[in-house]
Amino acid sequence: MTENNVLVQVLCLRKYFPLGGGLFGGKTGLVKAVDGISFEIRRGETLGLVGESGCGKSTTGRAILQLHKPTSGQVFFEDTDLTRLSAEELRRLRPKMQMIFQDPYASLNPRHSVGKIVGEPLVIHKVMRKGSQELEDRVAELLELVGMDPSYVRRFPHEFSGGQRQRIGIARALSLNPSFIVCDEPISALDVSIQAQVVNLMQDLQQQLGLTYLLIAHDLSMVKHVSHRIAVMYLGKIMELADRNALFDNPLHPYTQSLNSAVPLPVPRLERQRRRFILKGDPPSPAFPPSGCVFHTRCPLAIEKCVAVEPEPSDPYPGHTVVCHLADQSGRSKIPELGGRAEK
Amino acid sequence: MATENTRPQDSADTLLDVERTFTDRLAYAGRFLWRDRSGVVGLVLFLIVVLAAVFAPQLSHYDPLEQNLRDNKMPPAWSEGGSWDHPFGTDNLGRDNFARILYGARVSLTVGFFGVLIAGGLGMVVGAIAGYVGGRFDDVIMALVNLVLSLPYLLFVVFIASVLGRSLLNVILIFGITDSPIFARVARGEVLRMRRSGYVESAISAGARWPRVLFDHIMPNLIGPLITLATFEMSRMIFYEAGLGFLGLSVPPSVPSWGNMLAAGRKYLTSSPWIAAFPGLAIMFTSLGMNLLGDWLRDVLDPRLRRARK
Repeated sequence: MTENNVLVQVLCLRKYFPLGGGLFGGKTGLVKAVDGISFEIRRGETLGLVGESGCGKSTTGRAILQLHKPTSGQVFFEDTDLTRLSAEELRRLRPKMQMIFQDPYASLNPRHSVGKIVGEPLVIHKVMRKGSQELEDRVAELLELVGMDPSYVRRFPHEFSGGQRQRIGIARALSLNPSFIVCDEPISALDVSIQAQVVNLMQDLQQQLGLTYLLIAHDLSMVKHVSHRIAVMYLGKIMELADRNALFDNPLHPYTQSLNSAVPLPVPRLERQRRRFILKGDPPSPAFPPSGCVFHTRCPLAIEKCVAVEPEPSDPYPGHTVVCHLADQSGRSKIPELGGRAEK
Repeated sequence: MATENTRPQDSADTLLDVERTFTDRLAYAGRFLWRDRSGVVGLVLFLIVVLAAVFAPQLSHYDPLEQNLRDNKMPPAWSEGGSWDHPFGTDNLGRDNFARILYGARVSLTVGFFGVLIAGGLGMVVGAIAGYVGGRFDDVIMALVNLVLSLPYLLFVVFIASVLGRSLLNVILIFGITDSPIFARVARGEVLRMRRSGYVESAISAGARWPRVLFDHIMPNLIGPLITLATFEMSRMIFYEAGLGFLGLSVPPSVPSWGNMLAAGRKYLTSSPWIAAFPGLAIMFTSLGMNLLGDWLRDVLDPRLRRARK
């Protein structure tokens, strides 16, 4: 909004899904999928959004793109508040923000040819006419850009492997020259051998085209590899947000630390020596979130205050935001098993 | 990918390709059909019934209603006392069985076709809208659908038949209305599944308006399952129409329908079994043919099953 290098600013975004319903039944509850999160995405960066499944990562991505209408909060894209736009105004802004989907098998219409899939956004926004030479050239160019043979335009999605399908999905997302792309677990459905290819492709494209990514993922090592900054989500809230290195070298939130300790190290000697901290139990239901700090039910360091009072975001280091009562520079929020100096 | 080095023309998806010419697709469908012999059998049986219905006056010079009591209960041509003049024999009133079977196919196919047309049209529109719009509208529609499904069907038929009288139109309407919930349910389920699938969401995120989403992405993927369902439902309706005819609840007894013929032949089952046997066989083969055809269509129209068939 104010600063020029911020592309997307999310302010106190909430998305609640009503439970129950039916013809006669009233609402029986609310699932607080995303509960008041704020962050910004800078131009040209990759912001990683990580967390367990069901913590609201994907909902956040969709709520930013207004594919799920947010319950409350604001999303500024450049200087426009997306939540206040009419459907038609939003439609006209859509070319600038696109999405890459998790499941490359479900995200391509099985009845449409590759050419039609990749060219569809261009036709929708009347950039080019259906069947025009211009459109064919652009589709061929896009396929080449994502490393596919342009002669595949007449083929159908089921003729391709998962990695190739994901490339088609990326080509489709790029067709309108977007500046911002939400990548919803773009590689989690792919074979490990293909994952690296797609990740590298995404990074190359980012440099080539100056793209800004919101990368939603649960694979920490992948996020670490490609993100500039990382936000850690738990039960609809952001727990910690910091530069990649700060988050991995000096994680302040106990949740981040436990996630971090689960990432395998590539060096066997270090891997043998390191200590892990595995969280016990499952995350609570987002329909009935715990009182105070939502993480207190699983936090090894929780104190009475955590049960009663919801922590506010604080910045113990510049650019390093954490939501924890214990987090400060003293290291009170470090889990001792992992080598932190806790004094509990 | 197995299809990596095959040319696109050889792929199984070409049946519904937009880019292909009509003759290409027809040739492809033919090749595909040949690979599935039970589909061929189904298609042949179905075509026989259709041809019989269309060319009934040409295939038999007898009027199905013309009575000739002197020649009554004549056995079929190949048994003793029969004549090729009446290949399937005659019934208790001396009417030509063969002609009645041919004209009976008209009744069955009319009921099946228009019944499915009404049920399918109504069900698809209502179900697709309910699935697409969702919310309160969906709740109300689905409650209505369950209401119609819970109607005791036979009682409903008896009621309509006694209030409005026995006529072909009434039978079609009854089938059309009582069967539409099944189409509505399938259509709604498919639309719901598609709305959550990525390609509909990606079309929306690309800025597609609802007509494009509905007609370009949802409808084409809805046609396959519904055509398959229509085949099975049509076979079911032909079956039930015969059942109603047997109970005396379908078309008036003067109309030569397979059900009416069965009912009339019941009394002579021991002495002249052919009177009931031929309409029974006609119902059986029509039903069998349509079910085989439906099985085949289901596999051809569903891209996921299509590969397994190869």
